[in-house]
Amino acid sequence: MIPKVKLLFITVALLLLIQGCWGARETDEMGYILMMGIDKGKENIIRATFQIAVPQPAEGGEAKVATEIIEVEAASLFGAQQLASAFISKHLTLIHNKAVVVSEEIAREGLSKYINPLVRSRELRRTTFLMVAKGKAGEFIEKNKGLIFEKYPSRQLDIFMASADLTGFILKSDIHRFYQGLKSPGQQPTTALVAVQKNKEEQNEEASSRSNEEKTIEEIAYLPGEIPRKGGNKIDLIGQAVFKEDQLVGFLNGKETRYYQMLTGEFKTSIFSFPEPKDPEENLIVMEIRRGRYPEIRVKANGIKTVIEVNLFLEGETLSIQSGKNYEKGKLEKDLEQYISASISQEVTQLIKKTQEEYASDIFGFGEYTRAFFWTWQDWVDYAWLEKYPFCEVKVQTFFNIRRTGMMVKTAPTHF
Amino acid sequence: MKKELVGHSEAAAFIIIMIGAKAFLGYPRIVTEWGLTAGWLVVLLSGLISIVFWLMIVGVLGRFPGKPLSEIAEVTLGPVLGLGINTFVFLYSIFGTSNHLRLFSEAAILTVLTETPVIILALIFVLTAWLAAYYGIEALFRSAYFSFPFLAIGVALVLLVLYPYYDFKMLLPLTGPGVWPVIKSSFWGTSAFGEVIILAYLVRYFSFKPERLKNVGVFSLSFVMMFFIAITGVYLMVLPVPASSETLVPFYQLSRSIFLGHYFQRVEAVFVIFWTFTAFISIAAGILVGAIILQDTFKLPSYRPLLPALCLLTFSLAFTPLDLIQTVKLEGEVRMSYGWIPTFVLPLLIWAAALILRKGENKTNDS
Repeated sequence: MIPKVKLLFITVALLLLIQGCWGARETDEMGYILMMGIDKGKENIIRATFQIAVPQPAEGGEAKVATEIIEVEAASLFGAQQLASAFISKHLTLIHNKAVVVSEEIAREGLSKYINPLVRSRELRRTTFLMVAKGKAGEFIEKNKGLIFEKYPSRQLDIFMASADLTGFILKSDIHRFYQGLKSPGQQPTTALVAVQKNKEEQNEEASSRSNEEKTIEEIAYLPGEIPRKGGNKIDLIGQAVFKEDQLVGFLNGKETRYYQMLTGEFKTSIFSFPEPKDPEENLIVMEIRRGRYPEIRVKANGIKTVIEVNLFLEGETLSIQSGKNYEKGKLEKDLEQYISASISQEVTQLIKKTQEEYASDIFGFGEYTRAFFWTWQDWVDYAWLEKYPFCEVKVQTFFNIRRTGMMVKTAPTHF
Repeated sequence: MKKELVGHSEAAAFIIIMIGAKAFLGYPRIVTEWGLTAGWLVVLLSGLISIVFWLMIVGVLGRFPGKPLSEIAEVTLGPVLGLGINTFVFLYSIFGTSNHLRLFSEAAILTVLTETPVIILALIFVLTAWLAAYYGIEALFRSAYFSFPFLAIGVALVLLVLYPYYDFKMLLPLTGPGVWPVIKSSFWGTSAFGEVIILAYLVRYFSFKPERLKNVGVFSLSFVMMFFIAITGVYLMVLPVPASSETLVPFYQLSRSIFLGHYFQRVEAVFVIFWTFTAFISIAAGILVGAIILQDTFKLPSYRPLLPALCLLTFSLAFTPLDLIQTVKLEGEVRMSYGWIPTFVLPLLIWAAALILRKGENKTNDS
């Protein structure tokens, strides 16, 4: 009996070794797509842009380029991926794909049909970043080719998204989160917004004519492509795209995105500039604000009206007081805290109103808080929160405390 | 031949893995389809009902100390009806194993070995199961015992590192489809815990006293219930209703969702190892238990000669469903919905018959 068992064991062991042979692919046969763009096609339904990693030569040395960008028109994403094999000597795979960029045009038309294959795919993960490009997705990928600080766009995007925690104006958006917003009766989807930097001539002429107070308040109120700047990568990640159901209905700029993240609890820390309360045209106060606690959100409903109550808990560290006034302690400190609290509450209220009146889209997920009103799922679905959202009353209260004042405890008088 | 005996720890680990293997297939999806946001509540209630059922079944075993359920069925209901019941239980066991064989093979295709023919994967599973079953109950139970901590830690780790997704609001509304549908689903849901009945068929192989069997069953059921609750709860938070009803292999999808920055992502490959190991144990155990039931039913001296035929039967049955969706449907609409009949109702009928016909009383007194 024993030799038979051994024979069986050897057979099984051999079978274990061969089972992967069917799908065997040599590494140099593979073409790893790092970023994928989806645009409307001219000759076919879609135009897919693939940014593919170029492997380093086996004999040593550096490849001339890190990535190659190709565009293919086809009826579907996977069709385009297959068609690319006609002119790319690699088996294209999405297993290392880091981001999917969708053009504004496609997003306005509706993303459902493009999201379905992404969610169903064996190769793509739901943690893949999903972004809407103002303009063409292909152009965004093309312009992002010559990276300054990283070799591959996958690492670049990882760092961009990680920096969202430090700035608040980039939204960490992925397929998973979008899909959740799409499916839930208590919220609407949203994604990060990206664009190519505009030419200098295209920069906003009106911006320069604003008062200093406005400039301070609107310091980061930019959509991508509009930041007045020079150098760096040719693309911007700032702001977010607002969807109603699966259709793009508008954008939020960097400032609004920061307040959005305060409401959803994703906000961690960011630098804010406020006009000096008594002298808004001449001086400003810079404060690093971080989340003190997660926001408290309550939705209260009676037969007549529904009220969304938001309490934000923030903490600050003073980075700059241009006027030299001693806001570090006493009444001035309390005044400053109240002033900043009021400013933030006002901005947040305006943002919620904007999503109610302009977009009629609850991207914050306030509707999820109404789940607790009901015992059964069907009752909650029948409540039809998304129809009620535009008519809700909003009350925002900010609790802001200055915790630290940098390396100074006060500003001594200056004698000119 | 040396008598094979296993201890209570090995038995508990074995039952936990046998029941828990479902978590790696469609179980979280099925319970969230039944209970929507209250899927975790369905698991809790079905677990508790299963414990009650198990305590009742232990009552039957107590009346016939040292006898397996297959023999008790014959003693209580007579050789013809007993044979019928044992054959039915055997067929259910083989049907369940073959369905798992197909599901694990298909899941391997969908996830890691995308190009390998399903028949090859199933063949490897079944040949390994044959080998494991050949080495016997002791080897299999000990394998389960040794792998148990790794599997438990692996599952717990996956659930823990998904913490960025935790949103307890997604578990509301509390009663999902309503109180009555949740209760109804909880009764069906006991099918998921039905493997505990294996203990009743293998009593001869336990080195511990029959009285401890109750504790082994209760501990196994409670442990696996807690794990199922945690898995279903996290699944509902990560992939909330209605998206929770879409995923073919929920736990794999969960492990693919792990993203803790640039250096901690794409960790599902580690999970696949645990997953495949569970599949091997589960399929081998299914075949072995089927063989032991047949051995006891037909009073055979050894179960080993039955193994090749049972492997072939399991393999053939696994490919009876035309496609994956049919297999998923069989698992959800037949095995998970009606599995409680052979696993809990039949033993309880035997118990009722024993009570009415006053069978086994003398032995109870003697013992």
